[in-house]
Amino acid sequence: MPRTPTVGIVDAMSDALFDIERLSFAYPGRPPVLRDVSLRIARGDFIGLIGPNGAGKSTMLNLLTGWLRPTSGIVRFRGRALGEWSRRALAREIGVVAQAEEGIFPFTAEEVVLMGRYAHQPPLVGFDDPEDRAIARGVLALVGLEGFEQRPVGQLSGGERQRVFLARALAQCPQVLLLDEPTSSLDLNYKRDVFRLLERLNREQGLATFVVTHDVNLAALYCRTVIVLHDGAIRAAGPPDEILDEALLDSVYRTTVEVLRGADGAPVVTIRR
Amino acid sequence: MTDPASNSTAFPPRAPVPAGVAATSWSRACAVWGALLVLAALALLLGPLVGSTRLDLARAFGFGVAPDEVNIDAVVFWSARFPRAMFGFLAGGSLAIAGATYQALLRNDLAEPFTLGVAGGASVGALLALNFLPLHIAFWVSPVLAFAVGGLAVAVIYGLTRMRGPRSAPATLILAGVTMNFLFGAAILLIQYISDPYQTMAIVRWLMGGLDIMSWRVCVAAAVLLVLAGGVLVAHARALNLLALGDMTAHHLGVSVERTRVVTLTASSLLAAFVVAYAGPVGFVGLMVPHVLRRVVGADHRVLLPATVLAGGSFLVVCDAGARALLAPGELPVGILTAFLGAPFFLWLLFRKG
Repeated sequence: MPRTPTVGIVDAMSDALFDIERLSFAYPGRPPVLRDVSLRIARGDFIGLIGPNGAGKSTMLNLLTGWLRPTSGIVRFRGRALGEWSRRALAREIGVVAQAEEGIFPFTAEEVVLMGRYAHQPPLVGFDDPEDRAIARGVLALVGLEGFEQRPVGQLSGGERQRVFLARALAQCPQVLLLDEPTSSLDLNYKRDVFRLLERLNREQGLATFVVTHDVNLAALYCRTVIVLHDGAIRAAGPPDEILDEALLDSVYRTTVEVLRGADGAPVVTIRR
Repeated sequence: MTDPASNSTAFPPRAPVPAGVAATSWSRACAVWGALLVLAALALLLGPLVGSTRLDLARAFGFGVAPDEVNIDAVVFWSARFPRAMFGFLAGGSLAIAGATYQALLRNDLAEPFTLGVAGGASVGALLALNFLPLHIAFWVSPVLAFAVGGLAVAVIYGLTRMRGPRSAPATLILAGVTMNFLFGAAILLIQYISDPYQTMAIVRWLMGGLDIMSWRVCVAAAVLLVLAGGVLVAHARALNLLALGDMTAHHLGVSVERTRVVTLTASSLLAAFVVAYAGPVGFVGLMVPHVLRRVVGADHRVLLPATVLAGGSFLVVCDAGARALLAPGELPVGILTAFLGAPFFLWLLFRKG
C-alpha cells in the first residue's frame, strides 16, 4: 500500500486543487483523530471517503474547509496554504454541504440559497441583484425544488432541506464540492437523484467532488475513487472495484462482509448473517 | 431533478425570476422602512401629547398662537415631552437592534439584553459610577462602566454556549442569563446596602427603568451611538443572516466568523449598555420587537435591523405614553410596563411547541 496515495484521474499540477501533506489532527488532550494523511484532490475527481464511525471522516472534511486547523501537516489549496486565503475568496472556490444546520429563523428556501452568493457580492451593504436571483432559482430547479422558492426552510422535510443546502453550495459557483453525508436523510430515489446530479456536474463541468459517506455501496456506485479511512489513516485508495474486497472491509469494519457484483459491475457490499 | 440533457454549458444554471415575486430588494425594504417611519413619526408627535398637562399639537407648532401670548404648549412640548419621547425612541431602537443581533449570533430568539444579563451587568456598572463618583463625572462615565460590566456578561454567556457546543438547548442559555442576573442582583443589593437611604431610593427608582432624562446632550449622544453602532450592525446584516444559520455554515459561505462576532457583539452591547446607563434596565423591548417583526417582514437582517430600530423606538415611545396615561396625573416607570408586557410574551416563546 503506498504511503502517499495520489488519487484522482487528473494528475497535472495545474488541475490540482487540494494538496494535503502529512496531515495530523488531535483535539487537545485526546489521542489523534488523523495521523499523517496525505492526498490530493484535482479538477475532475470524484472521490468518496468511507470508513467506520469515528474513523476521522468528518474531521478530514473540516480540515479541508479550514474550520479545524491541523495539529501538524499542511492543507494547500491551489498551491497556497489554506490560512493564506481570505474566507471570501475560498468560498468562491469551495462549496460545502455539511451535516447539521441549526437555523431557527423563518428564512425561505430562496433566501437560504441566495446566501450562497455572499462571497460573490460586495462585502457590506446591498441586496441580491437579478443575476444572483436567477442563479438561486436555477440551482433550486437543478436539485428538483422548483416551486419551493418561497417556502420557509423550517417547514421543509429533511430531504428537501438537504437539497436546499446542496443548491446553496452550487450557487457558490465552486471549483470543488465537499459533502458530508449529503444523502443521509434522503429516501432511495432522492439518494440516486442527488448522486446522479453530482456525477453529471462532475462529468460535464469537471466539478471536483469529495464526498464523505458511511454508505459504502453508494460510494462504490458513483465515485471514481474511494478512500478508506480507518483509525485516522488511509487504509486504501483507488477505484472501488479494485480496492473494495472482503479482506479490507472485514478488517476495517471488524465484521464479516460479502462483496457481490451489481448489474453494472460495481461492488455491492453486504454483511453476512 | 432536471433532465441531464438540458443546457449543460452554463453553470450554475440560471432560471427566470417571475415578475412580482416577493424578494428582498431595495423596493421591498423601502416599503417596510417607509411604513415604519410613518409609525415612528406618529409616535414621536402624538406620544408627547399624553401627560398631566393637556397639550395642543397645533399650538405646540405655533399655529393659532397670538403674537404676545406665552405659548405654554410649545414650552412643555419642546423642552420636556419631545426630548423625552426622542430619548425613548433612541433607547427603544437601540435595545431592539441589540436584541435582534444577540438572537442571530446566539441563534436563540429568547436572547435579548435583559434575559442575557447584559442589562443587569450594565446596571451594576452604571450604579458603581453613579454612587461612587462625583455626579458631573459619573454622568459620562456610567455608560463606560455599564459597557464594561455588561460586556463581561456577554462574554460569559458566549463562552458558555461555545463550551456546550452548537446544539445546547435554548433554555440553557437563558438559565445562564438568569444566573448572571442573580449575581448582578446581589451586586446591586450590596451597592444599595452600603449606600445612604437617599441614594438607595434613587437606585430603586432608577432600576424601574424610566425615560425622564430631559437632556438634549444625552439624546444627541444616544443618536450618535445609534447611528454608528447601528450602522456597523446593518453593514454586517448579510453576515448576520449567514451566522443565524450556524457558525460553521457561515464559515463555509465566506464569513470570517470570529471577527464578525466580536464586532457585532461589541456594537450591540455598546447600544444596550448606553441605554441602561441612562434609562435603567428597560426589559423585553429587544425580545418582543424583533420577534414580531420577523413574522411580518421576514428574517432577512438587511431589512429587519433598520426595521427593528424604527419599530423598537416607536414601541417604547408608545409604552412610555401609556405608562404616563395609566397613573395620570402621576406616571409609571416605563420599565415596569415593558416587563408586565414582556414577561408573558417570554413565557409564551419558552413554552411554545418545539
